[in-house]
Amino acid sequence: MKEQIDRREFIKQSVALGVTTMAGLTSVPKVLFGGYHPAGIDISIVNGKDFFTSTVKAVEQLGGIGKFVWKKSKVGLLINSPWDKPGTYTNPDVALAILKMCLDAGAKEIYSIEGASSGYWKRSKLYQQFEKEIDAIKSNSDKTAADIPKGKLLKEAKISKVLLECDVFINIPIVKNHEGTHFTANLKNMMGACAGSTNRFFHQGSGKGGIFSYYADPDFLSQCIADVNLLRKPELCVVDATEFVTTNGPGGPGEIKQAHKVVAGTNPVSVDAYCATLLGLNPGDVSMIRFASEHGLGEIDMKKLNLKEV
Amino acid sequence: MKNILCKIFPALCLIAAVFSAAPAQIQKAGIASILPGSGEPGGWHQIDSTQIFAGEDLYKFIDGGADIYFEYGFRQVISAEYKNIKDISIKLEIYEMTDDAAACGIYSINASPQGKKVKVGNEATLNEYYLVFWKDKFLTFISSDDTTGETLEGILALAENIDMKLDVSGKKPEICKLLQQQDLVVNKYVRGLLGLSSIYDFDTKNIFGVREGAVGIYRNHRVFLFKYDSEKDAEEWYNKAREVIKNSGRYLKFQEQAKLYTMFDQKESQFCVTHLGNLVIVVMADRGSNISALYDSILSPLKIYINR
Repeated sequence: MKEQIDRREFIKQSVALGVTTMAGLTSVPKVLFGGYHPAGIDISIVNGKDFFTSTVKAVEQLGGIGKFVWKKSKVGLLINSPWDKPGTYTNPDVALAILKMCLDAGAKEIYSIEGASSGYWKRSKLYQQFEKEIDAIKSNSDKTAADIPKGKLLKEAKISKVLLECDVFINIPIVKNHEGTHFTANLKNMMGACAGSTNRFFHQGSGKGGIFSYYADPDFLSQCIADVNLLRKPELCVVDATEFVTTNGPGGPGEIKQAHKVVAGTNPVSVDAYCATLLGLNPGDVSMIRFASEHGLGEIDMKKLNLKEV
Repeated sequence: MKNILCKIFPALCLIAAVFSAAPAQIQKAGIASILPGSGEPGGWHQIDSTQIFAGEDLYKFIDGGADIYFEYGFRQVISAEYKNIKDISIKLEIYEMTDDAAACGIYSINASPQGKKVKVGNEATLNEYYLVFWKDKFLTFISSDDTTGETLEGILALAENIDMKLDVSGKKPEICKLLQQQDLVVNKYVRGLLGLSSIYDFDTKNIFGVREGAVGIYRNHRVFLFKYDSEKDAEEWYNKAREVIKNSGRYLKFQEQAKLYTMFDQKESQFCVTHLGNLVIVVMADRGSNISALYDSILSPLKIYINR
């Protein structure tokens, strides 16, 4: 018997099982059938100081991890982990909760797309409790060139192979200030999956600065971010909005807002639109969110989104 | 031969400028000589090897956050980590900018108004978990995950140690002196769109063509002074910005008089924009403020300066 099925084969089998699935007789993740609206909620928000528990609750409000991760699936986690100042990286308790839920759901392989270091996990007070689970995380830094035919400025990107090939992609950013784009969360976190050369193009590709100057072009950067998000939409987004810098982002140190929220959803654009409001921004004024919405990647009008906050 | 000289001359000038601008002692020993040495001060000892990133390598150090440093003028950064006997860690970063105005500017963008002013370098702010200060052309960040009094004392001691090693103070940019000092809460210095938009986001494009400016933040209003090479340039950018603002959905109730236009933003802040000499001046006031009176009080001393 075949131990592992790939994503394509899984979808084929899922379609074949469609009728029974719709009748609720199997445990096939419904998200793969397209247009799935988990529990009727677009954005799940949980408040509390126990960030591990908040994360679990935020996913439960969307229908539970079983809606997104299935037995023997290959999961890619994109965690914003490279920074080291308070409020600049995804709280490891949030990432640990996702990791634990994925393992409990029977995921066969879990990859850290950006390769979170052991130093990152050790910042969690739960590190020792979940050392075995952390050890189970695989890393693969291989990048592959991918065409983006619908990209307005970015037509090709070198991006993580795992991100493109995994069955389930879970984006786990932190919301925070960014001095160029004023905001970063799901959409910009995709740069963590890109090769340095691609990211360099995002920052300098407009060529407006000339040879000896580096005047960034935030709209160019924002459009590239929107474009790269055409490559793969996450199955699940879980944003750390517990404690984050509101100035001097993305690296900090900066002023910290303690919102104590974990925000989850299936649409990165809509979740980012909500998260922008946590920084006092109008989603439509954040270029990357507006450009991604113009690509048809998600709704940014809060009035049209169903939020559940506990 | 002449062609070759023409090509390499700008590069030689740049290299000469790079080396001539550095204080002799630091230039000789390198930026690492500013770091507090091992075992000093107060039992905080350096661990791991230091890391230095110069020029474009800053992207490797703060990929995503490097652009604003380039906007101000960046040369190199050194980072190091210190620990005490309790294994508490303090992280230190010293940015060498191209000149003292660049260091002052990036400090002004990063210093929190909620922070406590401390006597280190030219200006320093101590916050809940970090200290930032500038002196000469160096900007220093010292931070820790630990916020106990003992660690904050360690942060301060490391800052004072660096301060002592820098002989030259450096000066605030001249344009900052044009801001009225009375009731000034915060003074910021900008060199482009990224710095400016961190204070107020006029547009996603640099509609005023800002290359140098000072921003004064007062209790109920803000004053933006943008400096240009000539009076003609100032007028040109004043006009260019007017066209964008007039047609932008960001602003409401646009009105124009001779050498002045006014508008409101979506949050109902009021704006007056004018140009005077080689300056474009923007006065931004909270809803309900008497912006006309403010405008007159701000313009009068500037007219004296321009006509000097």
